[in-house]
Amino acid sequence: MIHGRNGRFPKSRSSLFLFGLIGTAVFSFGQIHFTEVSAQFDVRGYSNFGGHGVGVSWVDVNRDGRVDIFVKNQGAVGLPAVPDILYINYGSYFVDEADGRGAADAYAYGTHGAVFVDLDRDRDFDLFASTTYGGISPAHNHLYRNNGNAFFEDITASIVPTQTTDLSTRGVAAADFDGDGDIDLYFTNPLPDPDPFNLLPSPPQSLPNFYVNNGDGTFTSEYRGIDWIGFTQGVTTGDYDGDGDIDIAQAMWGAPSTIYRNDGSGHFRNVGGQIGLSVSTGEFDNGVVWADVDNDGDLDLAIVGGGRIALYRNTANHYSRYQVITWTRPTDGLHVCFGDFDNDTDLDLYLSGENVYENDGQGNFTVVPEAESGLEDSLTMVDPRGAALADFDGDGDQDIYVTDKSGYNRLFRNDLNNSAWIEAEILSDTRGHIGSIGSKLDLYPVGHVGVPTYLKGHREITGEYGYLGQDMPIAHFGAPAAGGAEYDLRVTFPDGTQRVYSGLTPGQKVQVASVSPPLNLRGEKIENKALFYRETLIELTWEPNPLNDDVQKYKVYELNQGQNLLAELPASQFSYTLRNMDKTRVYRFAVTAVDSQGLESEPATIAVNGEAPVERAKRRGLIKTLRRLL
Amino acid sequence: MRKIVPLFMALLCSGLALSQPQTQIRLLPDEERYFTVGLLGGIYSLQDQVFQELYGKSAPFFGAQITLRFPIREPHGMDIAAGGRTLTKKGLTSYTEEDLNLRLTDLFLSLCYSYDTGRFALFLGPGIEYVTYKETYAETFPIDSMQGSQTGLHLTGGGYVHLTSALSLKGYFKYCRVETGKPGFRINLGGTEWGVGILYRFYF
Repeated sequence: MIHGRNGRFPKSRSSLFLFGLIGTAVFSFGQIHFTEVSAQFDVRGYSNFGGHGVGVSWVDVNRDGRVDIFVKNQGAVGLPAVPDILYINYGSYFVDEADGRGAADAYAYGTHGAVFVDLDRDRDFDLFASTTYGGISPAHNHLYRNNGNAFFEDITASIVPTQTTDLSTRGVAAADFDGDGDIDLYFTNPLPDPDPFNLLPSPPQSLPNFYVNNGDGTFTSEYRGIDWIGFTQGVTTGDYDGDGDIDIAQAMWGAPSTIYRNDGSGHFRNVGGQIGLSVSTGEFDNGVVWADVDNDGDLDLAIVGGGRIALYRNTANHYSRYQVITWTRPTDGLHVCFGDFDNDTDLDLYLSGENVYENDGQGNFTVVPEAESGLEDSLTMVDPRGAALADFDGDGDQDIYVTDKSGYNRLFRNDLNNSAWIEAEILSDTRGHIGSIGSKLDLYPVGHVGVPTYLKGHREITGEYGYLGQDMPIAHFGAPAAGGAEYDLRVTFPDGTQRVYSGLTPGQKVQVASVSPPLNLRGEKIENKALFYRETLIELTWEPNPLNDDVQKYKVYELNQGQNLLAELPASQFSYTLRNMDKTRVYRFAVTAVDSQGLESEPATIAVNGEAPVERAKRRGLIKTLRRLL
Repeated sequence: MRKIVPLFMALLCSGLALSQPQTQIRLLPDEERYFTVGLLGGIYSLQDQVFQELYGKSAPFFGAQITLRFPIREPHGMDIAAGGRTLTKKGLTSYTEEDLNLRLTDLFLSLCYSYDTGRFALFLGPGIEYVTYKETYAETFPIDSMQGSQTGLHLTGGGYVHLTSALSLKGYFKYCRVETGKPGFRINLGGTEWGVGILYRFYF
């Protein structure tokens, strides 16, 4: 075990545990209620040094099934290069192990945006962390590769073009923007010292702000149509228009917050004004969030900043502002989370450092008084910043971690603790990414997949959202259990491939693993000789796909007349031999991989031609050689 | 094998028992017309590359032959020999390495010039072969067995050492040329046979 700077154990855990049990018993009937437990779990950040927390990612970095916390810390005057915090979740306590695990990212003026994403398709979460300039050079972005056990290696120099310009990055985004199957990166404010109050620079600056994945483990710095038109805060990704590619929304100061529509090839165009977003300048927006708040299957939008939350409803890919939420405390509002905190199938809203708002099912929000929600402590935060959601204690409800730049961070445990939920975690998408940013998950009552009026929840996996928050990429759905209800879950991967998980019962967590076809399928006709008989064999060989980690068997099909199953083979077998074949005939075969849930991959196919079979002798062992000689 | 070895021993013992101490075999012309029966054994090296790949370069065989000798003008004469031999060999298929079992049975008829000094004899001549084959396969193989027959030619030569008036040792070689295309491809069943034998002689 590695103990970081704050490797202390919480005190009086037993009494707090009892309190938790009591709270659980009281609030397990669908009422939103939270308990602040940051001290119990020792996750308050650098509270002794005045805070510094500006954002947070929930992520299971070591893949032990417990969600860990990564706190993004900004420096302060006289205290630059504040390390980030990686709280490893040990179940009943957390320990900051950022230093030991190589994830402290203590550069320049600290970190703002940071996103965990599987960059190299090895089914763990790597880290893309920005560096804030703030007058200290160098301020460059960094990429850290997770070695699988949550030890991180800084690989920036080896895969990203040399960075010569200091950056003032705030929000960052990660997704397969160009649809080529690998993860690209986007970062805001690609210049050293932008003036936040310099409205609408003219002309807009077309700066390289994408790291486009070359597919070989390296990235190219490119401009992809998103101009720097003003100081940018939070950024998020989603497919707002349902066209299958991933768009970008960002919250800005001065310039209007907007949406950039992806043309499908990873090039973007500012369409905010055309699709109904406010084009008024001079706003100071900090966070932007896409979520389906009215369960109609598309992404509605929330923009927070300037003392209000503007809620936009998506109707046929056009936005209209339908509700504005304001509050009384003199805080700008930086971050909004959407989560089904009461497991009633609609998304509720939490505003960082403020309160929780309950959804009426139509996307209209009403504040839940803090006396009822238990969020009195949220209202005492000094400078609340990014927040994020995860079920850190595995009790089936969504908990909240909130950073405070000038105070201690808060962990609000949801006391709902009922079984009216279904969760889905994507362990491997069709491209082999864990988490699968860009995947869409839709929950329906059993037997009604695809019927819009039955939709019980639509989620899209994203990286950062709001202001520097990132949820654990697990889709959480409220799923009432009344009447023995069962549900079907449809998962749409970024490449459009869909899987349906049927007959799910409330309280069930689905681990979604896309099965990829085997690689390098080869087929060869081989002559197997006796003295008076020549047999033509066809030997099929393939290699296991490293994207799969749950293959139970392979299926071999012959495709010449329909699809005839020839064999089911164990996962350890990578060849199959067909006997007594016609050496002049062309054969077509397919091999698929099947996982433990019975999901079958797309087929790898091959045609074996009608050419003369090759002669080949197997390598003989010593015993067979002796036997042959004797 | 179990039958051939006792028979071989019986011939050897009876030949030795009937023999007389002698310094020279009788050379009377009318006594050089004789009939022999004998047992043969040796090595048959098939030329076929596939055979060599599957079974090895050669196989042992056992056989028997009868010979009639007609003197022309002593020591010259003519031998007519007929006989047969059989060989079995185990092997493995080329790729799957499944068991193979081959039996080759060969009937032959030879017409040879012979030169018999009374103590030694040499012979050389052509003949015909009739080869039957049967190859048996493992259960996993698509078929159980293949069998058939084919005729061919041979050239043989060798010599005798007369141990007694009734018993001789024979050493010989035979080059056979037998090919078949019945399975749909060419198989060369021919090859070189090196053998020895013991013969019992009857005079008439």
